[in-house]
Amino acid sequence: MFKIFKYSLLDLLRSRWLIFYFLFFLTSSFLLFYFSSNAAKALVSLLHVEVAIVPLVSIIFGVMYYYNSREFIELLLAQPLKRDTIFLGLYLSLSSSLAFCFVLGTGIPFIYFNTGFSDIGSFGYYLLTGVMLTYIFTAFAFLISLLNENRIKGFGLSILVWLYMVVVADGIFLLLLMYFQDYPLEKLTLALTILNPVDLSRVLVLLNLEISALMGYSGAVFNSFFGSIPGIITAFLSLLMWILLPLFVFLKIASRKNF
Amino acid sequence: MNTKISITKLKKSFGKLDVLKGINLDLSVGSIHALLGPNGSGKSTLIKCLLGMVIPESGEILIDGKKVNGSWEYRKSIGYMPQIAHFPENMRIRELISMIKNIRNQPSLEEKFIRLLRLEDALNKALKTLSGGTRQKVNALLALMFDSPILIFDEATVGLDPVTRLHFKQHLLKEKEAGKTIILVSHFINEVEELADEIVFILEGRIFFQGSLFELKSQTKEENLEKVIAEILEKNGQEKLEYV
Amino acid sequence: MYSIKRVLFFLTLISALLPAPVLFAATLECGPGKPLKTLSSAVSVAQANDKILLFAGTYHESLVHIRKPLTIEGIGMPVIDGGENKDVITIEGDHISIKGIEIRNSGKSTSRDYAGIKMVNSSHCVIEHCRFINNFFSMHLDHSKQCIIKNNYLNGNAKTETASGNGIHIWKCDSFSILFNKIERHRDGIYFEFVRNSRIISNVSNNNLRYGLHFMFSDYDSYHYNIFSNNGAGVAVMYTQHIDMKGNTFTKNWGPTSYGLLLKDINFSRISGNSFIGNTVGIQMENANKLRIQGNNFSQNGWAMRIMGNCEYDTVVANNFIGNSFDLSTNSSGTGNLNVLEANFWDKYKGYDLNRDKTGDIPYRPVSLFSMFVESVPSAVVLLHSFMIDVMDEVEKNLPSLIPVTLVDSKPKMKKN
Repeated sequence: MFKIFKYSLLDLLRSRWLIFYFLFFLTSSFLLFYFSSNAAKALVSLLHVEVAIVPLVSIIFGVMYYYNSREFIELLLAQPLKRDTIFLGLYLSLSSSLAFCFVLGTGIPFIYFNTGFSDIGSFGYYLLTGVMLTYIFTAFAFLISLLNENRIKGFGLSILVWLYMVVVADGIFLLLLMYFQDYPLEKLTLALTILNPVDLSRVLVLLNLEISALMGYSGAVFNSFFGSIPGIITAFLSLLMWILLPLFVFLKIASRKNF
Repeated sequence: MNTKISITKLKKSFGKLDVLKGINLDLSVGSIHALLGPNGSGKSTLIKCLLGMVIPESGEILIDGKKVNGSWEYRKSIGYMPQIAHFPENMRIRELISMIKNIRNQPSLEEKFIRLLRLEDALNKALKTLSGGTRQKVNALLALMFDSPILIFDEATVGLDPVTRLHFKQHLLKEKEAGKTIILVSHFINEVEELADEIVFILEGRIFFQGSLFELKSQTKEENLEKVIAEILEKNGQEKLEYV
Repeated sequence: MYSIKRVLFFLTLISALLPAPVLFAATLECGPGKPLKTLSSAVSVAQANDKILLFAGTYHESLVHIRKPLTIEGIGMPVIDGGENKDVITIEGDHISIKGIEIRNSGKSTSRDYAGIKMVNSSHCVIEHCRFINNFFSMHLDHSKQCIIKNNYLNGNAKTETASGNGIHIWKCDSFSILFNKIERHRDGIYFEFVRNSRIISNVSNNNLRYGLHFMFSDYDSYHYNIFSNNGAGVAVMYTQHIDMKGNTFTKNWGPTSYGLLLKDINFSRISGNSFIGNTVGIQMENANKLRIQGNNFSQNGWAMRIMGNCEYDTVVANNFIGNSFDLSTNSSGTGNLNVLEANFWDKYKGYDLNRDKTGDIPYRPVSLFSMFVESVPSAVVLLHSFMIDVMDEVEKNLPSLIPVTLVDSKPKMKKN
């Protein structure tokens, strides 16, 4: 697996799109850090990028990469390699190189502008959740493209998944809150947040930016939950589940697929 | 006869379409087996089953008497050249070779085949810049360089220039002498006549005929293999299927 | 000769103006190695208008009761340790000054307001350059007038709201000046109830459990150039009118129920030139009427201002709103009918200025659709900064009919005020 990972990574790191992705993060973070009076403010702006762009690019690029690698996959399938090895290697190389671009693209400006390393904690959360979102949405991308031989369908479906996770789910969330506003909503809010990886990532970063106080009583509930070790573990387990679930289904289907 | 590959009752269907309806086939060491059959007869599915790329519903594949379904190590003994192959586009040929070497972790003879296939000048080119013919050479190189006891070629000579094609065919005969089991899918009838020791004719997911060229020809009055095939197809109500 | 006559004339004039006894005051020395060992003994021996010099050392005394005009001056910061027995010093009289001493460990009680210095029915008193450490109330002042509290340091070591008192607690007083004090770790830093004509200037009130400054039923007061930071609930000004709040800094008052400045039932007041930085809510206004809020800076707050529907005739002009999560929110779509919002700078304003008059050509609506959602369902705030919310607010900005709120800045500034 490491071999597939290594070679595919070497190939990917030369890809125009990936360099573009890296430069996108580099310039946007550079500008945001440059024009923001402090790191926290820039981080809030960057958060908008993280919760929308990272999932979008991961899923679109993932689908694109899988479709472009179909013949390469066939080449590898004829080699003495286990199927899991091939697919896991490809998945890890793509998600890792995307994550690498993300971390480097935002990390360099952060270090450059923020020599005092203020808000390093929330930035750490920002990077970690961004990386996890990358792994989650690449896994979805691979699953979608494995299930759809038709590229157009695959791209369409991936945009729908993105739209659902990033926009529609929050809309439903908001409607639920409006509908049940006469009931105590903290537990519901907490549960819905944990169940959506995009919301969970956003909230984890925001809580560390001390914006929790904004969140009134819910914020207090969130703070005490995510401020505790079991809470943090739950949050990251949930994110991990969001990676492992689509990845597991992907590998399962891939192991039985005819090429 | 020394059996290398033994396939029994191999069945595969895609949805409602039964592609392999119970294939029984033994392939011997030291000979070239030409796999013939009309489009959709199940040739490539059979090869893909052999390579583990398609997973059969039932049946067994034995190589050297060992069951290989579901395992992967046996592919160390197979060199496969697909009809078309795409590679990681940003890689150079040299890197692709070292990658496959690294993956297979077997001794390789790439220098010899780089010369044979005349790839020396292209080694540092990125794969995306290569012509179809050069890509095909790279394909052949990857199939040959590990000196695998089983060699599978799917339309190997398509796109090769005449000189390389000649070298390639001469080399196949050498490999046969060396005791390799070679499976050849080809649409060039004269190539089959020239190289094959055994014809395996697949029709509608079954082995319709297995035997020497001579035996096949003796089934009909025709001398020309192309005409023999046409007659077989007609006899079996396959006249509408074009053999390409 | 003429000039000597003139000097004599002035001397006579001065002595006539000064309270007569001052001219005959004595100075008593008190301290280790001095004839007077304790402050209480010195106070009882002293005649009116005497000066007591209290030398460095620790005096374990409490219930020191001063009823005559006296000046007590610490030399080398002597410490009076009350041993947690009721009040440490009580002032009950006029012209009493206490200077340069440290007062520690008053009693603590749930029913009595024990204090480091308690003042009742006094006037013209001064407490300056003193330190108050670990007292229940540092100063508890009531029914007094024309006193000065200056340059003191107060630390109450407060841990819970119920087991702690206020720093400077003033009740039913008039004409007080609270100047240059630093107050921390009390329940309320400064507490005003029924206090009139007083001023609070250049104090620092930090890390108090409840309010940095708490104003109730106190009219015609002013507080200028103070700093209030990291207090549990910020600053509260309630049930008052005619307050002048100028040049103060309200910062880092973070918490689910925390405000920079809470205004409740307040009329005819002016809030100008203040900075509200990094508070959960910069200014929270409930039934606050006829206020002028001008030239303030609001930055990095959760909500810069929350104006409830029952606020009328307020004028919000020439302020700067920069980097707040919400600039303005309200619980009622009718808010704003009688309020004026004008010439403020809003960093979220995306309008243009074609006629170059430094004023945006299209009005700015600082109340976002999302902030309206949050007002009706507070839990919805967890969706803050989500992509869906961004999209929603952007749509709303271009189709403003979605929110019926009338709080609109018709002349937003293009650059910072």
